[in-house]
Amino acid sequence: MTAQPAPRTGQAVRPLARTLARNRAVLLAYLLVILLAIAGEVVSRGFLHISHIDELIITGGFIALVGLGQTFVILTGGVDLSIPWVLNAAAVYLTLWANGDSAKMIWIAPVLLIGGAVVGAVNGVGVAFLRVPPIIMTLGMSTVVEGALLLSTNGGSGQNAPNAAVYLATHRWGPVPVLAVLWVAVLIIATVVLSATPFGRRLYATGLNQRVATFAGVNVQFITVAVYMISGIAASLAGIALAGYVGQSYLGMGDPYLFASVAAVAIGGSSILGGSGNFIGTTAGALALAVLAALLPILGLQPAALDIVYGCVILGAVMLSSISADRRAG
Amino acid sequence: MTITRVAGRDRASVRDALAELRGYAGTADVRPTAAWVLALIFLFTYAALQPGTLSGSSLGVLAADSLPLAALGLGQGVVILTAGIDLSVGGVLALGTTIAATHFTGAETALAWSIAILAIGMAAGLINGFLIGRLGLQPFIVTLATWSIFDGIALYVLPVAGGQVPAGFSGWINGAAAGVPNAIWALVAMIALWMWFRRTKAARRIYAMGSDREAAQIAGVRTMPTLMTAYAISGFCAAGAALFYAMQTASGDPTAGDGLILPSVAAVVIGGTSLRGGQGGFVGTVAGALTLTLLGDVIFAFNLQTYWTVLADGLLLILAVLAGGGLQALQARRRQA
Repeated sequence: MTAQPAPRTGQAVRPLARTLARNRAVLLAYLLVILLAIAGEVVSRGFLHISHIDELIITGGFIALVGLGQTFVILTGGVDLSIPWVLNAAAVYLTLWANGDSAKMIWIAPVLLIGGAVVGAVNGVGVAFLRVPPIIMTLGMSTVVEGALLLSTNGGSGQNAPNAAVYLATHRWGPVPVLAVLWVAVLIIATVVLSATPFGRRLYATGLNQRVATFAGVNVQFITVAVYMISGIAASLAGIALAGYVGQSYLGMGDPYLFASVAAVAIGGSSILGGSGNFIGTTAGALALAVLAALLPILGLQPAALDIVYGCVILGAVMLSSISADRRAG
Repeated sequence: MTITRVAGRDRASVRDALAELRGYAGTADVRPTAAWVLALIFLFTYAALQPGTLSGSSLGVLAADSLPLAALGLGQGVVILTAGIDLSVGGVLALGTTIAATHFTGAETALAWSIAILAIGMAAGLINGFLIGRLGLQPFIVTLATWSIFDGIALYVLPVAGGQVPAGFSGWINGAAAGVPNAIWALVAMIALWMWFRRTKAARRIYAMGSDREAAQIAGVRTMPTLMTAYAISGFCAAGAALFYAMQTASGDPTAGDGLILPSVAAVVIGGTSLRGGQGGFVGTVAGALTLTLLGDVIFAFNLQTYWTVLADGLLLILAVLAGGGLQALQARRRQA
């Protein structure tokens, strides 16, 4: 990659070239999105019609939201398996408490986001202070949240999503979905936080090597708790939006988002070991998964194929990144 | 490479190194005993609430209830001994039950397809082991991906819970031989199988790799075959768990596995197997599986909602990890003093 030194005159080009080289995986992910979208248009006319693109962006938006938290957690070398039930709990409580009354969103939405943050904080404390492996801690908390949800609602779910949530998930400002605007805002904020703030630098340092980061003065425990809290909040937000999209809530609605969130991060070129990657890549991953999910029925495949595709995509992405990492090391 | 060859020539030194590692791994550990004490406490609590629990037939029902989890735990435990984790057991179990519910029509097809299910489970494990051992990928991400794939295949085989298995097949689990319920025989057989396995070279390599991978590699333990063995055992056991599950419910369910992944890990951890690998075994895991099964029974006996079981499973897993870590630290300190 750095085989020959750049000529002196080309120094201005060098940072750009280096960025491109470093983010080859991200570029590949966007290329994948474009290729899949073209394939969609080839097999089915109107796949790239603006209304269908909006639909793709909205379904991708939910994956991007859960992918946001998963990206932050995976960047530190962890993983969050509690996302599906945090999402599900937010959706169920929203529909039950609001029961179609948008005015109540003023207190329900903050309560749900705080609830997500609390679950995340417990995950983070378990991982950072009690040294429970992230998989075990978040798997355990997922079940705890599921149990608490079932107990508190007696296994029920709500039929009536408030209009404010429906607006968030399905409304369009002209041709632009509201969710797309939210997505872009999240993308900008996440990218700035990760690449241009001390918090972001410390986060990458934590993911690269916790011990070295600690010696360098990074409060690894604070970073760890913070990323799981971000993941909890993002999952709650996704739950609110998804309840609005479906118009109701049901048990198990979060299940696909475990595989989807990990797959989006993996396609986006983030290292599953932590320390490298970004949300720009995860955004591409979420788009790619949304396009794939829309392609499957067109190709005559059952919804079950989606699970298989998620699995293959995760495997393919981590295999590719391990091969390229080997090449860099060797 | 050269180290492996040198060590391979000198078989005796390899054996010594392995024996030493085994000795290290096999130091007296209070955790399996603690797990059995916990299981007995739950058993007697339940017996106090439900008279008749300690009769032969009731114990048979308890054993039958805990069989799928015990079988899952046997395999999960072997993988955790290598310091790995197998999330795909959920997918293998789901796939197994759906095949059973759609392809078992009589005694002959039930036998043939049972063998096929076990073979599929083993093949699934071999794939996991290959990806983890050969390509050096993280166990959790590989088995998360294959979990999703097997879940998807299970949905193809049987889109919604249902189907049927022949009564002759499902009836076996409630039968008895020589006055002892079949389910208890099955548990005893699994423990006997484990006792035999623990003495094999394969098991020693698994323990060695789990307690110190680099040292094991230097001593000539090859990573890929060892990991492939461990994950193949896990896949095989998950397929066995699927058969037990199909017997119990007399049907198949493409989502059956998702709720059993956490309990499978919890049974192993409650049983005293260290998540860091190299320490523990199936004897404790059986106690873990019984504890989790009895937990559901006790919650039922207290007239509490069954949802409490879900909550308690998660809490128990986290608490067991913390308690296990605490006990280990305590023992290490006592050994130093």
